[in-house]
Amino acid sequence: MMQLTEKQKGMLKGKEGEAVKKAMELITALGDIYGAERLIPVSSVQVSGVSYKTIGDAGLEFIEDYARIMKEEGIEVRVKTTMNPAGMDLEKWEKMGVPPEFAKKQMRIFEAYTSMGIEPSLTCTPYYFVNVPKFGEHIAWAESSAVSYANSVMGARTNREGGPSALASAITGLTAEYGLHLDENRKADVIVELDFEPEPYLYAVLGNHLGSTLTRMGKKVPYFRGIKPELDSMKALGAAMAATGSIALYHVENITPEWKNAVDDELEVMHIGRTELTEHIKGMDMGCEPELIAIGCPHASESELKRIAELVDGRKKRPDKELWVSISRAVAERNPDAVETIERFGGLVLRDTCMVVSPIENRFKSTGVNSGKAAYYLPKESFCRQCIRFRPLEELVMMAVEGEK
Amino acid sequence: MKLYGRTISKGNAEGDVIIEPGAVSFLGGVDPKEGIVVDSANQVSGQSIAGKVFAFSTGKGSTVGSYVIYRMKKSGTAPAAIINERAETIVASGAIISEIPMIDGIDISLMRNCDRVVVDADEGYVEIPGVSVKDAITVIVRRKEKVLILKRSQSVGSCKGRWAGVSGHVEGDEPMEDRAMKEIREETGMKARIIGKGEPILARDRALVWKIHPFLAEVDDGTEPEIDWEHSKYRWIEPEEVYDYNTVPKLDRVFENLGIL
Repeated sequence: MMQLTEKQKGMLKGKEGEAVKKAMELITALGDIYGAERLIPVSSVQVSGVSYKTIGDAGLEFIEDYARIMKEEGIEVRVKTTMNPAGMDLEKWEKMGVPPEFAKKQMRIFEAYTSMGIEPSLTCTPYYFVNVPKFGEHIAWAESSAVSYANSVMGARTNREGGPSALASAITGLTAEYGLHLDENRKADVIVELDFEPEPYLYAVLGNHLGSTLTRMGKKVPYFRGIKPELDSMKALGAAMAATGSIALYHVENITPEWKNAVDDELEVMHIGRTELTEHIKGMDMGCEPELIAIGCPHASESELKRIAELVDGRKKRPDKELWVSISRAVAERNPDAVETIERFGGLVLRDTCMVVSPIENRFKSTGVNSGKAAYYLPKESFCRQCIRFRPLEELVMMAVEGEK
Repeated sequence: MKLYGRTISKGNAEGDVIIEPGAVSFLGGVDPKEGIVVDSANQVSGQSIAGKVFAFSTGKGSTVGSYVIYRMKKSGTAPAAIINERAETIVASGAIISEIPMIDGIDISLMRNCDRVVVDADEGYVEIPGVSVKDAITVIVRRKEKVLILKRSQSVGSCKGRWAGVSGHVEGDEPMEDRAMKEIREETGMKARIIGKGEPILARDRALVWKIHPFLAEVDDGTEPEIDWEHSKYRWIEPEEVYDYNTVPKLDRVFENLGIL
């Protein structure tokens, strides 16, 4: 059982109200399940469970109930808290073809979260400008791709929280100290060696392949050797590994902040060659002619956005193709020119959402992506039912350009 | 009989138990409108869990499952209580936000479908009032590296034809060790010394739960048993060979608790 401070005991007993009591019950139960000895403060929270498409009426009901209790008790979240993407761009939802009924319920979820004091960030990439944890900081984040990025690329410390547990941390400012909060669980347990430098799009393939493979092998923390990924490639790699498997932390030799202390013992070495990755693409790419080209899973970075703008600048969109670029509000505000260029071309720059968590299946049957995470979720029968084309960013964008092949 | 576990979500409830030996996903695996399990991977697929005490090994699947449990609670289709062998985040979160009593660390193989059970998640136990506990002993006799197993005859009351250790019920207040010595004499005729003892193991047998106290005994090299009517055969085996035999329930656990496996 965990040792609680006097203040924490009081919170658990209801001294600070019902909302805090419930949140403490959840955090301490999880702490007991995973063998934590104490609770620790977190400096920020990212909540998931925002898109009406993913949480449905069940989630809507819970969030509204909880928001009402918090309002009645006059409390808000205690630490900086940002939120995951919604099921639509809050302004352009009609252009996306989102049904009004869906939009109404989505707005209710959004309003319930904002009434709790959660920032209207609506992105899976809060680490771009909005919620930027420092090295070594303890945080409680949901959204598996952001968890991977925060742990691996930024050296912050978070477990892969669920919607309710992240919200509980936001309300209490606490999380239980287990898993990736502890040094010993941040060590690598397998070495992945590549004898070539993958092109950026192959990082998504590598992640899509390794997530399921490593999780099946019971491995949790891979250590990459022989590669030099850029930030965008690391985002793609981590997101895909977290989608097809349960990898929440990885290290890259000479690159990521904790690589030096990541390998203690002699570890199993896994070799990945170029052929293995090109073979793996065959399983991801279903070969359809895409009606929709969708970039931005996770939300595109400034550099990705600018690259797309460059490619379409001064060109005309084919009338039979749609181009969607999903970004955060923060990235949009900082790059009005790139956004304008893409919109002038005829593309739709979406904030607040992406193709995975919005109801695209109402409108499209086939989607072109360069994301290893989207390639995993979009084809699912119960989710988006898309036939996937998997290609590099440049090729995808050119598919939407008039006069190109 | 009372089984002690760990409180995950407080509260009390009583109901008929419904048992799923596998893992359960509430998103997609349970229809929240009707409270019916729909995952064909589950043995209880097609059955309602509404108002029941739902005992299953652990949760799996999407984290949205927590909200599904909440929705079931609000529409009256949720289980009255949840019992898990090993709790994980999704179901634990769902039970807590929905105020459904939940306990884990319970061996669900000790329950049978339709047992009436009382879940006291404040105190952390599950009570099955219709089931009583009886003490029994099982002795594993060792001769050098090998151990003795016996095949139960067709004349015994239960587990006919299955392999077991030397065993017997404990009567009245007699000390366990005396009973163990007595059974070795009666069932094998050998002179043995008791050299070890293991943690008790529970096993369900109709309206009873046997609390089996494992003992380890030793005989001199060359000693052979003379079996009585209770057994038809015996064999000296390497402990790890126990998995190759059709044994009485949890004989492997007896070996484990005695530290010979």
